[in-house]
Amino acid sequence: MKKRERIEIIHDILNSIKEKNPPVRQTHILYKSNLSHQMLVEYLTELIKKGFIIEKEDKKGKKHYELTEKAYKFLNDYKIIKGFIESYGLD
Amino acid sequence: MASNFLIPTWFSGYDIFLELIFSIITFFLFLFSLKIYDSTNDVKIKYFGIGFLLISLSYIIKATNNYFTNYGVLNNNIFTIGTYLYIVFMLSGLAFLTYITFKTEKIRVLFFIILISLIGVFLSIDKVYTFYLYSTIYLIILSIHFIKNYFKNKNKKALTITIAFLFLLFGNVHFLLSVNHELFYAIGHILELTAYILIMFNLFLVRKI
Repeated sequence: MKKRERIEIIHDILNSIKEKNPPVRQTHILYKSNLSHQMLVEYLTELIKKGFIIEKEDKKGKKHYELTEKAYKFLNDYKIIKGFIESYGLD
Repeated sequence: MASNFLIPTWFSGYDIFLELIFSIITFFLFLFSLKIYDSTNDVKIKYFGIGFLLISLSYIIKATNNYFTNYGVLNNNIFTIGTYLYIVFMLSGLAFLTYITFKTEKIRVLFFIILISLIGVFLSIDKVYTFYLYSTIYLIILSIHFIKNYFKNKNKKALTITIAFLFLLFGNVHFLLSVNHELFYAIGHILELTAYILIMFNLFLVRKI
């Protein structure tokens, strides 16, 4: 089986949030993205830092995630981005 | 500066036109990378774009230098400065692209390879020849990267880029030889043109999806 590229993982994470209708819990993203907990936390931290998702806490202190405009733009342009990255081996 | 290119008289003028085309294509690639960077925030794509911007500027400098030299407007000193600027921009652009192929995120590595190659060129007796030698090495590294990338992805898009960079490599080898034979200068440009047409075709394929 072909190893998933970084760009594909990011797509799967963002798509899992989009499909569930945000705000979405971490357990849902974990289930949909098929990553280890540690890996998911690393990706989520990076995506928050880069402005793709927003982390919020509910009254019980549980974390939820929402997509930003930037994430929607990424999902719209995903095929072009993937094609470009694959062409030049930029992953 | 020592050696310079031997340009066939029948090709004079065409070279400037082609260099301007290369400059436009590489600038377009820079803009496209910028668009992708805007959506991904991936630093590799940023460096990739900067690499092509520097290459685009180098072609403009080279075309301007050749144009004014053809019309006898430039004296030798200004021509030499123009050639040096072309070398600095082209080598830095290629260094940016080569840096991306390395599995490192240390920016020091990038500055180190730029510095090493520029020092190497400017301390050599035959600067133009050494420049083409260095750029050939960069293009060999890049071609190997794209060949590996093609075998990993095995699609038409990766294949066009692999062939394009092999053409750029062969074109560069012809420039290396053009120090002695004028025909190689023209062949070098034609090979470069083929490479950039393939790069444009790749952008068409990427956008078509």
